[in-house]
Amino acid sequence: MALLEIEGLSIGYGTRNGLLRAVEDVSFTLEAGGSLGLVGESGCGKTTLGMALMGLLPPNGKIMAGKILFEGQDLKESTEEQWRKIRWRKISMIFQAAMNALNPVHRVGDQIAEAISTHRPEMPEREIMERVAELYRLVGIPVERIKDYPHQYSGGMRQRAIIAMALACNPRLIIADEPTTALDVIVQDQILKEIKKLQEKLGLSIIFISHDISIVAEVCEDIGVMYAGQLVEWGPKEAVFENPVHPYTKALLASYPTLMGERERLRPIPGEPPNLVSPPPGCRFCDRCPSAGKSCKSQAPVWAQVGPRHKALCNACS
Amino acid sequence: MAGSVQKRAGFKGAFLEGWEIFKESLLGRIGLTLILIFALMAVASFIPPMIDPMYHPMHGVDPEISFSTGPSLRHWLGTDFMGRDILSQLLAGARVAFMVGVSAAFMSIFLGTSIGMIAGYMGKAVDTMLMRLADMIMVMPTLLVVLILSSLFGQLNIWTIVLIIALFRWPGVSRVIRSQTLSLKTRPFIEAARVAGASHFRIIFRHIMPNVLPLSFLYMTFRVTSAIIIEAALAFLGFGDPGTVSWGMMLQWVWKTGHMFKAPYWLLPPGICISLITLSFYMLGRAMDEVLDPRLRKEADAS
Amino acid sequence: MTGEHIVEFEGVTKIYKSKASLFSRSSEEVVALRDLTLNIRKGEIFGLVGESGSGKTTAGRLLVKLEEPTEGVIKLDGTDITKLKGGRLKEFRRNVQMIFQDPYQSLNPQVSIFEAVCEPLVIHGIGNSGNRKEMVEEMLALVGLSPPEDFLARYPHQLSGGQRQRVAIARAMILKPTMVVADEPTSMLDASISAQIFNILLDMRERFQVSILFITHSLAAARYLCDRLGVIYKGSLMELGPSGVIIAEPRHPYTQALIDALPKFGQCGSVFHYGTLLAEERRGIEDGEGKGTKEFCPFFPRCRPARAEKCANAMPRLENLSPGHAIRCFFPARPSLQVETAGSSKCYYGI
Repeated sequence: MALLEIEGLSIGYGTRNGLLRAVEDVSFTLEAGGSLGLVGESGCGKTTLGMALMGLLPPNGKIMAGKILFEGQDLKESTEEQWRKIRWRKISMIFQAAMNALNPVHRVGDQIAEAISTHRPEMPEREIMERVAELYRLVGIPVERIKDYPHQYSGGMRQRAIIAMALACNPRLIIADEPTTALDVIVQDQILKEIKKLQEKLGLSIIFISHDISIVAEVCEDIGVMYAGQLVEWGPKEAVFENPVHPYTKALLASYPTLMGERERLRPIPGEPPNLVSPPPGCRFCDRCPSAGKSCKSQAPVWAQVGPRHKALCNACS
Repeated sequence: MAGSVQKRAGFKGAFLEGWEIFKESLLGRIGLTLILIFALMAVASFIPPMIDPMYHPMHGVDPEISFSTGPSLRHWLGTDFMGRDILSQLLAGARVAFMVGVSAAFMSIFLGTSIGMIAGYMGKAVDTMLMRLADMIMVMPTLLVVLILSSLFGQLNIWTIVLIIALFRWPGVSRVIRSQTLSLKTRPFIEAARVAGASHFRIIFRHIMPNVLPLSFLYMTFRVTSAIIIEAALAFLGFGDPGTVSWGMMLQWVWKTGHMFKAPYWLLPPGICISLITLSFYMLGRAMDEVLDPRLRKEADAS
Repeated sequence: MTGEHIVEFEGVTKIYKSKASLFSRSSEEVVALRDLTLNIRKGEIFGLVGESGSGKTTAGRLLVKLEEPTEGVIKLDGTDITKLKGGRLKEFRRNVQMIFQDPYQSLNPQVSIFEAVCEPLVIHGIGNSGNRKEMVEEMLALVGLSPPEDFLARYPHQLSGGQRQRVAIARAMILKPTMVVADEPTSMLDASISAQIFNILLDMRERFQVSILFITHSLAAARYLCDRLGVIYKGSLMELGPSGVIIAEPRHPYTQALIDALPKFGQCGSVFHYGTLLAEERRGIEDGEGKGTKEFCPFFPRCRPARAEKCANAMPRLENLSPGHAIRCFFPARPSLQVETAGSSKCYYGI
């Protein structure tokens, strides 16, 4: 049984102008110990998906359809009580701009301790402090720094502290939403390697959300490409990079330069993503797609199997 | 960023959108309705003297009545101690309240916003000087100063009162505008204007002011309430303009002629009006707060 | 006076002093730029690559005179700009413009797109109410906002980040400046949008022969966009030269570390790893004690090939390794014998 199975998940936001269909009919599975990268432009629905997996949708967000099967149980129907038992203990999250998630007036060690004691109230204090020290060793922060305040940490250290917080209660699944924005290149590289190392060492499963496919490639085995709320391509990273099928995936990959060889002009994708309050009936990428077929505009695309685990949502690609 | 996309453009668009949000606020609707009623009253204040000179709030004396009477068909709210119609006084009072409230508020906001922007933008010596001035004025009790001035110079004209209120009330808003300006000053679009070669004047009035104005308007609603109350208090204490009929003045007459407990039809209307008009402007301000601060708004439910 | 260089930095130093406060007994000094010397050629796109705190943004701000240098001289087309005032300062502003990092904050939310792009024309008295609209429309079309009439009446919050940045470019270019500073123009945009912006900058250079100082943290972006680049670390240039040469043959350990750290995907297995970064910083330099007159190479604590006898006791000078390629290092890497392997041209890098 896979650790996480998403089936036909659709999420919408209620806005002044109508229902915004942020996520539409997304399905994928994640095995225990696996790592998945969800990639797409801002507004493609990847963050919404991440929030839904933690039961953290804002009040005007709602799961319209589908299932979230975690360890066999459908989380969609969970009450707040049930979510509290799952959050941090089974599934935890590293948010975007996580560095600002640390309270500047409390010591970092205390904040991590608090995260533990909130979700494991039965743990005695001594054990909690030992666990904090263990976490620090795990993520590579010198243990002497436990008593320091956030402003005394460098950017990279703060990010490690956030990761430590996410790992505090031994979750099975971590959702990392753009965990390395605002970090310098070298620190980012160190953090990504750290995440990968921890994942392998602890057998964690990770869903890594980013707009940048190059970052995701460092950490994840599988890649899911999202566009305008839909999953448009999915597969093991090597398969997707070697043989991208969906025109959006191809266009996304073409936005990155090489370091060697001829300096060719990058060919970015023209145009803008569609309005998600009234999305087009057919393929949502149609008007930006260089290889659109005649029926693409009116007929919703269906999944085309490209390889044993590689599929693309496209009528015109095979 | 989700959920806060303004659909229509510019000031007009912002206004229309703000209006939509404003309409949803119960406080805003009640406040606005009340203010409209008072505005109607103010406009209607011109009518009674036209019907019959005896209805003139100040000079109109009923030839047949020369003392305070209760409500009747002739005088819907009764008459005061001289036989003047109370209703027309009430209507005239509404006019005065608006005049005083709005002009004093407008002047103090104009002063406060300009000074706040200049202090915040120029910084250093100019800022220090202006803010020390503001501090000095802020600690002076407005009412007391006006009372002292009145006792020195005798009864003050209504416009003098308005001016004094404005001169004493600008510091509060200037502090707020100044801190808003300070935070705007470092925003990239201000730096972009500098790099483009814009003069200080242009930056203050073309770039900072439009971003600060909504806050000014919000404070203006609060200033209206305090202006009205100050004028009413002054009039009540006997320092008002004797040639103007205001609600405070009416209360003064009730009190001075010993009718406080004898003529509720005379005592209550002006008192209720003062309370209601200040309440309504306050509610307006609160509703505007919701319009201006997106975080206070309620989004529609997903259903 | 015309020469080959449009911009010259000569010994530019910028020190920020923070005033003494309740929490620190004495005022603190931060040296953002130390003795920076570099030239930008006319029509060139020059990349300044560094991490946060390297001083790259400060260099850009000094060039547009948002701040003034503590020491040193900056020249625009041969003229010293540090002392400009009044009319000549305004003239300067016509020639040097800036594109800011944050597209969500660099446009006034209360000003329409038309007004934002038109403002520089108004400030400098160019055109009149008749032809300004045309000039703005032409510029908007050039940056890819088509049809331009659709955008004139809109406001920034109605545009996406990428569109806003195009407007910022249009605003910077409408005066047809000779020099534009682009301060990390894509760091707040998605990777796919970044590529669009880069191409627009290349178009601008082709069409208007404008010189561009491109400030970035990504060597891959710099290699794509720039003719020459300089790698800056803690206020000092570490390596300087043609972008192709520096990327293919980086000689400074820091440059090599930056290349190692670039996120990448594709067939990257055969890419050479320099490994010049220490996992943990070296201890053993007492800086900050007794007001450091002690000079040392700023990269020493993290540098694997460094040797304490030289690197911890003196600051290396920026010297030419070969014509046009300068480096600040006591132990620059030997020219690598690495042959470009087949896979590395199918390896793609994050920008």
